[in-house]
Amino acid sequence: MNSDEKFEQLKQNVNAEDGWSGVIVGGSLSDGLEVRLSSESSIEGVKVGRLVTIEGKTHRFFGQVSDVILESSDRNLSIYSEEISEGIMAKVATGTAAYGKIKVQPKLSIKTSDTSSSPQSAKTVPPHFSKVAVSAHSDIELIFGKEAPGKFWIGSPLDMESKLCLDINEFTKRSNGVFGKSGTGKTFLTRLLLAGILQSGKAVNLVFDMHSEYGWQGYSETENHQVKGLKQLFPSKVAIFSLDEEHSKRRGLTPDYVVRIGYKEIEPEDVEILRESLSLSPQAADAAHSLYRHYGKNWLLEFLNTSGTESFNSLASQINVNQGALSTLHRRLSGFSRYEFMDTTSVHDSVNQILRYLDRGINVVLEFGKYGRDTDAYILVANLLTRRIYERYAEHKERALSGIGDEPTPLVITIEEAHKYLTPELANQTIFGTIAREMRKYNVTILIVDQRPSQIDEEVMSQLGTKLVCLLDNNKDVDSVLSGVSGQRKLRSVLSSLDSRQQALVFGHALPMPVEIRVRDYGTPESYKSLGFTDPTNKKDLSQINQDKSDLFG
Amino acid sequence: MNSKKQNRKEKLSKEIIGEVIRASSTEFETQCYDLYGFPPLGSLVLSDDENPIFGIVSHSVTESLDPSRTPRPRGPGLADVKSIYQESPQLKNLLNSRFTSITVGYIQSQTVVRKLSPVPPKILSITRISTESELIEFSSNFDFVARLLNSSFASSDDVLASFLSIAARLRPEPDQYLIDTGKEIASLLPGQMRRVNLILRNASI
Amino acid sequence: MSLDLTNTLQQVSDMAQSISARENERLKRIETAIIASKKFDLRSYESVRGHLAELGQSTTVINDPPTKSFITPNIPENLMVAAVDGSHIDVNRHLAAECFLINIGTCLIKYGDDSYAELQSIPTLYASDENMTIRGADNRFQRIQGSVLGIKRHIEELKSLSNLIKKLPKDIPCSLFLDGTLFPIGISIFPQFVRDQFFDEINEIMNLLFQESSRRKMSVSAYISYPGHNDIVQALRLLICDEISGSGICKGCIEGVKDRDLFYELLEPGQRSPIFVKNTTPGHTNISSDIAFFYLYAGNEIVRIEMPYWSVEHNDIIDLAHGSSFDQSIRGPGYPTVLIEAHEQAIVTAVDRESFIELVELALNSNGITTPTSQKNISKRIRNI
Repeated sequence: MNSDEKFEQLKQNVNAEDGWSGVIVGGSLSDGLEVRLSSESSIEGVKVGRLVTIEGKTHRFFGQVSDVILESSDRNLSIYSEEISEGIMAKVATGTAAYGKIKVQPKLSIKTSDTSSSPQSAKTVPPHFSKVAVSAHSDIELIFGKEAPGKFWIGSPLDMESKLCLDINEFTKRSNGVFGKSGTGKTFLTRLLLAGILQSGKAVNLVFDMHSEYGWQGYSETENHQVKGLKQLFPSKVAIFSLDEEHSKRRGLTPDYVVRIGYKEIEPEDVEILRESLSLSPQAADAAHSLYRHYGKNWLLEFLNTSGTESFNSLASQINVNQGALSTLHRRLSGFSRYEFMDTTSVHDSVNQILRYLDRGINVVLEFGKYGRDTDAYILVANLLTRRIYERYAEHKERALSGIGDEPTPLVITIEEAHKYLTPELANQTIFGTIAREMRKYNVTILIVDQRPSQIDEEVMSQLGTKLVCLLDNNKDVDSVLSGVSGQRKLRSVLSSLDSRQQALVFGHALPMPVEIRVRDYGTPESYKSLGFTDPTNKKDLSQINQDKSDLFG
Repeated sequence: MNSKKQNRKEKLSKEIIGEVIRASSTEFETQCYDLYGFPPLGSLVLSDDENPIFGIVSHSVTESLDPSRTPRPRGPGLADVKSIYQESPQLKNLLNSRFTSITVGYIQSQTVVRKLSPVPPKILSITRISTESELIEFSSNFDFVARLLNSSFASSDDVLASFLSIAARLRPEPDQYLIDTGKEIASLLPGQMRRVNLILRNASI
Repeated sequence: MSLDLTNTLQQVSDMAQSISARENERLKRIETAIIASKKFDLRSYESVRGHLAELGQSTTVINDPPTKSFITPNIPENLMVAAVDGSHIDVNRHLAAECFLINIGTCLIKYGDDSYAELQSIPTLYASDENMTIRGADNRFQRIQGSVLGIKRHIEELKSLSNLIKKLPKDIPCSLFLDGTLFPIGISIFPQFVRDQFFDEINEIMNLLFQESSRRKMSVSAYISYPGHNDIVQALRLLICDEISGSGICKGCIEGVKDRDLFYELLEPGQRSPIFVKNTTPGHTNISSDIAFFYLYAGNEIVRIEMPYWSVEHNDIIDLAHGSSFDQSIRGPGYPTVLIEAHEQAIVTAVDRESFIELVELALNSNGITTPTSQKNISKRIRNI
């Protein structure tokens, strides 16, 4: 297809009710291109964020609408606006004396003669009078790739039906983030991403499912009904672990494993990460380390069992810690004893169990049940497990590098409420900070799902490869999400114009250019089907069930 | 004109109205066979010799053939102009009607070219009114608008309006035609929306 | 230096005084003429005329008393009116080529249903020796120029008129007009062979017209505005003047009165006088010189309408001439429209004359003939200081 035919095709899209097209009349690479809309165009059909294709002479450019402007070629238009605002004249003036202009930020370009390669970021601009129109499906595929194994359909560019795909391989190479204020669909988006990663087989997920909404039945706030969790869609590829067996059972689920944490498993670092949520002073947090040195592995239980002023005083002097700090620590940590998942058994198998599943390529969702409401418990468990798993991955990877065994399957750890423990103060000390900074050194990355990105450590934020951002209305949050991204000002306007549901701005490593999307549907039978789910009650799909079984049991 | 001659003329063609008596690159003047035989302002005419040239009627004149003899008023008693001509048939021989057409295009190998003709029509070429289909074809492309607007002719806006009015009436959706042409006019007259408005208002009456 | 108007003014005013002094005298004479016409006795006149005829003198035939008047007759609704007029460019001795040009203008108007008009002018150049000379039997010849050309032109007008009739539909009455007298004046001064030539030509034309007039209803009127004739006044004198009859009531008392002065008093607007006949050879009709005529109060003046002599026998033709002359003079206004238009076609303006001369010189030059134009001519054309 030559470029003219191509453009004709584009124009056909334009000829729809709210279609538009235009030509370049000015602008720059840095400030964006000015596009005069053709007189037939409906300015109301133009939306900021819309992907457009510009036919240059030798290159095809792709960009995004960043502004929509009403222009007039007649300085006196306002003086006699009344007499020309009616009848034929109004239609004549529209598109001629009074016309629409849009600003387009060029992002990518590709040689028209070689559309088989992938588009590169635009280093120049198309010449004057190049035609501009909404990108066609084929352009979207050219930019973002076709839906295919490893290319996961995540949604559609705004106002388009085209499938916009995310390169899962690229996505899982780095840590990523899903942001948005609560109620904007972070969970849905995350669930889709998890499904995508799961489907691709490029990585396995470990989800610290704070509100028990990923593994088994989530709840759609918009549709007001239950939606299927990952386990329901991919029974053979997902294992659900639970911290709160009762809670899981109430929801009709028998967890694959009930996680227990031994007191001995808790290390001073685990306390450190809780410093903020437990309101501990640095001294108090440090005391944990002293206690560890003093008591050894069983330090927590020993410490919690300590009672009485005298004992405290003597312990304080023995380990050379301020007595007040020590008693504060004691008071705060004693809350742990309420956690039913904690026990005194010396060694628990949780980490191994998780790893065993992960090794088999089975994704693990850890439901927190009632502890999901307890941030301390969440942070404690997530941090503790991650650290262990990470250590094991590191070992595994080191062995593989020295030629013993295979590389471990890349792991994506999904964490929520990260702003509570990836703060600038704590980020350095938590395992998550380490993972985020390390990229995929040990084949482990994290997926942060959070509503207050501004409180997350800047460095961590900057290390996130790909960000999927739903509506954010706090300026600080917007700033932090966009920091270090080029064309911030334009993206900011896109971001602030997102709908509060099912829309997101996606940018970063896994995409050639930022794009505003309508997130793919999730929760309808069709959506399940499109994700590869086959209803097991349907006899025809028995073979699929058997396949699942064999996947599950090796 | 006696009746025999009239019959002959009708046989030739109904639309032939006169002959070119003055021609330049940008306009040509036709003297009508019949007194007051000029087509309405804005009509599309053709000087139809071997190189047919399109013109748009821009200026019509009726006056004494002999500039030193001016018509004499017949007095208020004869209010009926028709009877004056009936009673003084020689008036038709002493007066003549002429019209000037702005050249707007020509026909080359059966294709309408909307540009000035390479050569003006020959003197005494027959001038005829275009057929409906010629008018529709000619007016389906807006290149002629610029010719009219740029002509040095003083009332070219009114001529354009008259032409559009005629051309629009031949179309199923006259308003749409005026809108489409209007956009062309507006783009040719940036910053002159009031003028554009006036043209279109005149055209839509 | 142009005309010295100061000097002229005195002379003009002297002249006006003198005319004014004579005016009262003139009015008195007109009064006398009116009285004479009222007393006009047809029988006495006829006897005087008889005496004079015996002496070989021609007199005007008067069959009705001059005081008798005829009201305007109706004219047909469908009527053809045609006229011929001519003008010429005389031989110019400053011009290298000897030639003259006669331009005949014709006008034809159809009134009534489907009215129309046709105007035409036909110029003819006379340049060959043969065309420019009238030759007699004995090697005598007359160059056509000056007053001869005037007569030649008049004859050409008559010729055109007779040709014009052929174009007219037979079923519609037609009224033809000529400007001025019916026959050229002043032929008698030329040598016999010239007169013969002219009369032969006129004869031929009049015969044609006569034949045509039997085939259709047709009048031929020579329309003379402000006529200087005194045929009727002369007839009155025959009865009343002592000098002539010896028994009159006055002596030379109505001398100088014109027919028009008389009929101005006798006629009302639209009315005509009786028909008079001018018979050039007593006792013998001559088709190329005899005429019938009447006076008509047309518009604001008395005009004289001359017709071929045979018209006198046909009242309907006289009515047609009377009615259409009056009608035309109203349309004019004041002068027949059809004659005005014929004249406009015929007219050769000063500019036309210049152009004609240039055209001739150009043609001569392009044929390799140098044109030694006289200095006077050059100075007329190049006006500078």
